[in-house]
Amino acid sequence: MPLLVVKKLKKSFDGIVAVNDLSFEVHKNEIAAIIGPNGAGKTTTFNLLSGVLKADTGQIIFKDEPVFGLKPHAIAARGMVRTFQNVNLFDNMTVIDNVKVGCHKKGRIEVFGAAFRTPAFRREEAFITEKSLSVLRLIGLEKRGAEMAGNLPFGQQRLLEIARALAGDPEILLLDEPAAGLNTPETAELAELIIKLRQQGITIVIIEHDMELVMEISENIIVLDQGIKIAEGSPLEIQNNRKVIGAYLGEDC
Amino acid sequence: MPALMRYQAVRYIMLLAVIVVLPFFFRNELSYYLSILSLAGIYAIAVIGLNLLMGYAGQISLGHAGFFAAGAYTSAILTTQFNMSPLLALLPALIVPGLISFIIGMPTLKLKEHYLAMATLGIGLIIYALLRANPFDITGGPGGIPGIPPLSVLGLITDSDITQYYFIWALTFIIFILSSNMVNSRFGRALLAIHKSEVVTNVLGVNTYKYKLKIFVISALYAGFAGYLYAHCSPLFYVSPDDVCHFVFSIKLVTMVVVGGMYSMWGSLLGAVSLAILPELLRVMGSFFHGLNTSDLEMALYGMILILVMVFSQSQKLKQTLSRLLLKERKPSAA
Repeated sequence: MPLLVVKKLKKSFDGIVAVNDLSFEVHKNEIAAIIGPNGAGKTTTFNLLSGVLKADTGQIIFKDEPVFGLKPHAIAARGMVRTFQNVNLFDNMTVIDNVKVGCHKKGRIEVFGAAFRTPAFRREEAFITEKSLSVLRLIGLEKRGAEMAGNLPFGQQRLLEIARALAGDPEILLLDEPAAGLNTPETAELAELIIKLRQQGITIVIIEHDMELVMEISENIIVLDQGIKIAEGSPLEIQNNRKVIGAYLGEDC
Repeated sequence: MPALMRYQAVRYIMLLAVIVVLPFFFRNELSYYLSILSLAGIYAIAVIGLNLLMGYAGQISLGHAGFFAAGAYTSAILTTQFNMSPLLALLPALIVPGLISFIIGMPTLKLKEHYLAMATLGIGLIIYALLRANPFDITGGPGGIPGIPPLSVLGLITDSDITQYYFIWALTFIIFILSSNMVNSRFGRALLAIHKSEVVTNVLGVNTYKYKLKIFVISALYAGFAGYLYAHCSPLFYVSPDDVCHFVFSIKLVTMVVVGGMYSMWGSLLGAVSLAILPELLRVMGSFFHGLNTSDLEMALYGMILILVMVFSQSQKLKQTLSRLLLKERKPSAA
């Protein structure tokens, strides 16, 4: 049984079709990639999946439950969390506080408990702090928790954004071009992290332009062109697919 | 106790000491200074509330005077015309601004950008107009309501300037600590995150709409409570539309938040006190120039402060500029 099923998803903006009749499945513990030239509808697909945008028609079924039309926070609460193409950290906050926001849905104490520092509040804060530190440890940033997020070097900001999404214990993580702007060692570090996450049981869907990375880590690749899925398959199949070479790789070379 | 908490406790104790000791510095014209400081304390409560909304959550209210007035007038009407005890009137004085903010927040906060600023601007003007027009003959029209009874809590009656001062500042102090606690939490982090990016915060699992609405209502409650104190604990025991509900008052509250610094509780305190003193300073200066209307000058100053802050919108930038100007850290020039 697939973890995520997308059926005939369609979205147009002012008559221009961005995503057209898109269907695919993601299985548990898989690393899937969505690739395609600029404007192929990759990020729009993520926006639809995460509830940032509402599709015109179609279905999104996550864990056997339709999530179509739900608000982003409700989708996140069900265990599907995404990152953004541009680094979108809360740079007005510290590194650890960024991660703590990602952990938000694991807590429940609100205004009153916080104002009066109730025992339940203290327990929850301790839990959130411990959880956030453990996620920071995963990306090697546990020593820099008190720094302002905006002061980190770019590569670490990217990792922090992933960490922030991880803090909520997602079952499926949607990564939108996580390697953009990273140098070779940083990309290697990222690949290592993604594989580590999969070992922990997290399913990953990644949008990426770095073909080397995509071919190295993913098991299933979905190729979009002008909103339409033109191919799907293993890295080997995709590399040898004429349609893909024509629409995408040919253009890039 | 962790070092950070100890440091914070020391700051709170110092603040408390300043509050307690301050009246002893004014031997002459004590009641004049006390009345200004009491007013500053009342402002501080409203400003802390507005800062929660503006500084933390990044939502702008241009009609906070309306909530202040809702609290002040509800209690003034109930106590003068329906003989309700002032203490009992606290509840309706909070419910009315809370309800108004909930009703206008519900539809406008669904929308992004600054619809809230427009809606609050509107509600502030409507409340002002209603208070002046006095359609049900209960608000006293432009003349307002005089003779509001003082508060009587546990044998303490807020009918003298010194009890008013200590009563108000005791409350301000408590509210200050509770609010500082409130922002330093999961709740506060969610607000700061919303300030930076609503979409990102939402995607991470925070119900941003709920939080925006919650903080807006809380912020209106602070203003309503401040208005309630203004009615029962300030020297005049008098409310009028021009004193508690004027658009300029809303702008004044916004300026206090901005002057003190967004998302700083200490800043709110500082902003409220410094701008409460400002009109008095201007009045003294105005007396040197015959016939100078200092209240006009006051408005111009708020405008100027807001423009300056907008120009240096990021505090980081402001800090750099100030340090360059004040510390003369100039780059060596080629010449």
